[in-house]
Amino acid sequence: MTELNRKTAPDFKEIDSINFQLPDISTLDNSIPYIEYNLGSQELIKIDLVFRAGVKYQSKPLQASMTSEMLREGTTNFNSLEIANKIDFYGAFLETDLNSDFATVSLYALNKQLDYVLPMLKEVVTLSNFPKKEFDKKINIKKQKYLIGQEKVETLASKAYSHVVFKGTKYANHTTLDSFDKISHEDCISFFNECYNINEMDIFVAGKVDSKVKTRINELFGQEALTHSVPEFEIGQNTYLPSFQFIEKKEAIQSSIRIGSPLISYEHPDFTKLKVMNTIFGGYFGSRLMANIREEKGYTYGIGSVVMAKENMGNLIIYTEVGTDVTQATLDEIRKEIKLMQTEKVSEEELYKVKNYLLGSLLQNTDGVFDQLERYKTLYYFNLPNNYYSKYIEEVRATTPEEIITLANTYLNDLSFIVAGSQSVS
Amino acid sequence: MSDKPQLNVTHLTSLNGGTKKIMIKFKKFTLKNGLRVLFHEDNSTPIATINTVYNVGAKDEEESRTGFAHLFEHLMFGGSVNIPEFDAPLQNVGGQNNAFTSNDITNYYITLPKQNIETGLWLESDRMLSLAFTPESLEVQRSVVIEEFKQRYLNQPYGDIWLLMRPLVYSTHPYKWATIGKEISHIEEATMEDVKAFFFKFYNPQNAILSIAGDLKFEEVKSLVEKWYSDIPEGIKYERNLPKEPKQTEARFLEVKRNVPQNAIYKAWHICDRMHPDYYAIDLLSDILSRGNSSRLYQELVKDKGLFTEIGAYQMGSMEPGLFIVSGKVKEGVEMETANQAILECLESVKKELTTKDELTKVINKIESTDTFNHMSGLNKAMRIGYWELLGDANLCNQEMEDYGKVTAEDIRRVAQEYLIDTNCSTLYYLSESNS
Repeated sequence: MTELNRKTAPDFKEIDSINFQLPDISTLDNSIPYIEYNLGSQELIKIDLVFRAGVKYQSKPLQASMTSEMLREGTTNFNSLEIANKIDFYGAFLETDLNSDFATVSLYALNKQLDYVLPMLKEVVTLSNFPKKEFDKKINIKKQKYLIGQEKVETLASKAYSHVVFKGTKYANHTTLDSFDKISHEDCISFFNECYNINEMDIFVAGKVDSKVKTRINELFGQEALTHSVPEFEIGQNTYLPSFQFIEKKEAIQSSIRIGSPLISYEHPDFTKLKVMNTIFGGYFGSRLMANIREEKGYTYGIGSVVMAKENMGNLIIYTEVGTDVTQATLDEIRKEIKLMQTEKVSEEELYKVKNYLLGSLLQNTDGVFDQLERYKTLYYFNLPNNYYSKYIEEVRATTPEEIITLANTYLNDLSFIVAGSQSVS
Repeated sequence: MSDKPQLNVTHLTSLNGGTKKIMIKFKKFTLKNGLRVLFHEDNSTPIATINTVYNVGAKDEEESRTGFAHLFEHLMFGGSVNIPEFDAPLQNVGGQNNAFTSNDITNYYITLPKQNIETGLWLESDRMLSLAFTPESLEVQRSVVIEEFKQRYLNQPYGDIWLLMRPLVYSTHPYKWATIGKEISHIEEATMEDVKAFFFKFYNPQNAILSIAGDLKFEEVKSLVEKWYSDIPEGIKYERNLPKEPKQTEARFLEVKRNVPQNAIYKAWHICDRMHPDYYAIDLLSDILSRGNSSRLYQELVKDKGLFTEIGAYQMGSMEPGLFIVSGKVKEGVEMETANQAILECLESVKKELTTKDELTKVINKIESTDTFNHMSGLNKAMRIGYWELLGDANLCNQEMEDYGKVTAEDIRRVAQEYLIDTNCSTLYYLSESNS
């Protein structure tokens, strides 16, 4: 037997395709979109009802989040305990999720229990009545959590980041301690009436779905005639100006750093290659930022850079928490790494590694029916073509070192720097 | 505590739960050097998982050198004897990895495209063989861990609770320190000799279990594992001999003041170990008390009486005799004593009255559905069979649901009466400086 060569990596195969499947797309009788992934390996199902009821639609802080969180707290037929009992008894999960653009109400259940809990899903999205008593308890709890959050440097930095980068738009976070006194259960009722309109929702179903599921959903949601009433909405003009902000938090032993700017989103032809550039810079564990600031200097437990895409704009966030004594050094190193991205060509070896990493991530992120559904939602809500992911693979593969330099010069620019901590930096 | 931040992975809690209907089928073999290997064939995914659990946790540390198991976990990414970097070759084939350390175990995992499984075995086997032990790696990971200590335990409101609770509850057993360590100085003082000694004591094939899941064939996996792991020296078997915690005989109490906005209360009772027959009844008791919005503590203390803004109950699930915890944040203006009494009253009711059939069915149903969800993930399955093998027998993971099903209302009342008693309890009042 020949001796084992441990120094050389074994042969491997590149990822050249992924098994991304498209869902079955149809409508209910009243033309509500019904999108189904029947791919499950286990006897369970997830139903997402997606509403255009994200934070950007609210007329005052906390309105969208309180409405979303109050959905399980009472309807005209059931009180909060009855709703919880029903869902919990059948081993199901009824969850609400909220982001800047969308509010989602999700039901997870074993197939054999679905019939028992499905009516409750309809109940909460159509008949929620936001009892004042429940609202008052919830807002108090939320206020306490807010106060705890205010003790964290990362919360302070994130909020300042939002003010700076999303300035002028509905994406900026304006919540203050005051907001908790200015919001009432009536605000939830009006937001619910305006934005949780089943005529405007999308239904996504994923798991091991038998043919009776759509019939049941159609009985529940597909019979009422549709009356379209999309609320008027303007995102607002982004009046971003690059700036430097220091937020003092006395006695903090670490500083929180947020650096970023507004950015392009999916609709822009550079978007995929921009992701390749950002991955090299700060988008994975082997990135430049992580290699330098964590693995070489040991300044932090973690650092990264993310390209985000909201419905109306994109944004870049570089984030880290570092020791107070090395905050200035970290800022200097981040600036140095940006400069390096803009001036020196990435080696073929590093670029190749990042491409393989990105495609491996795509493979991992399309593993399983719930992941496939989430990837499809991106296509659906950003109006991307069905072959988007195969084009993505091609574009990632085709990215050149020269393009990376151009992208770094175009997009790692006009950045704002935000630091929350106990010692001032520049 | 995981080695790398910002990765969305399944946590230890998902090891709980099981089912009789959905089994994890697996094959097992043992190499001559003592390495136990489990393989679960899973045709539903293009991703393969390689999970390695080492039978070493913070409980195996010396009291003067705590935080070592976790610091060591970081060093496992600093290059091995033949391969200068661990992450880069894996990223190059589309793989990802992470690890975590608990008081009981250190667990490493890789997920990667199934066609590249050999790259993962090459990397994972080389760091079982030996590490690079470079001084640079030690220096850097030492600082990273110190920053982690600050970020998670010191610079967070309520972050030091477990640093306070553990030594209150345990007087003797090494569960008395947290995984991150008792104090930063232990990490600051770690030397290369300490690091090497730790490696050779714990990191050998006899002290590890390798579990693999994916759309692969058993013969292929077996031959690759033999290729990469057979020549690793078996090492010396580690015999664990930990001091036993003496029975607690009177209530303990600690009060601290911190710069936090809200008072909090933590209560802990000693319970049985993981393999004890009472484990399942205790687990269901915690679910009845606090799982979901219909649970008793939430309904009574948050909703009805409005004394707490959040409250929870859970058992730690540790391998050695563990803890049952009730903890909550007390609503502004409520006296600590009132809050404490309200918890005790709620517990008194589960000691007096039997839980109803519906309540028991509810918590069992929840465990069954959670378990079904967990079966969707290859990583979860690989981790679970490895963990159970370490507990004694991987086959037992397929019996858990049955064991939950056997629990009666009488069992739940009995464990509440037996374990949740005052003389077995430690209480921490974590007070807000501004409120008091």
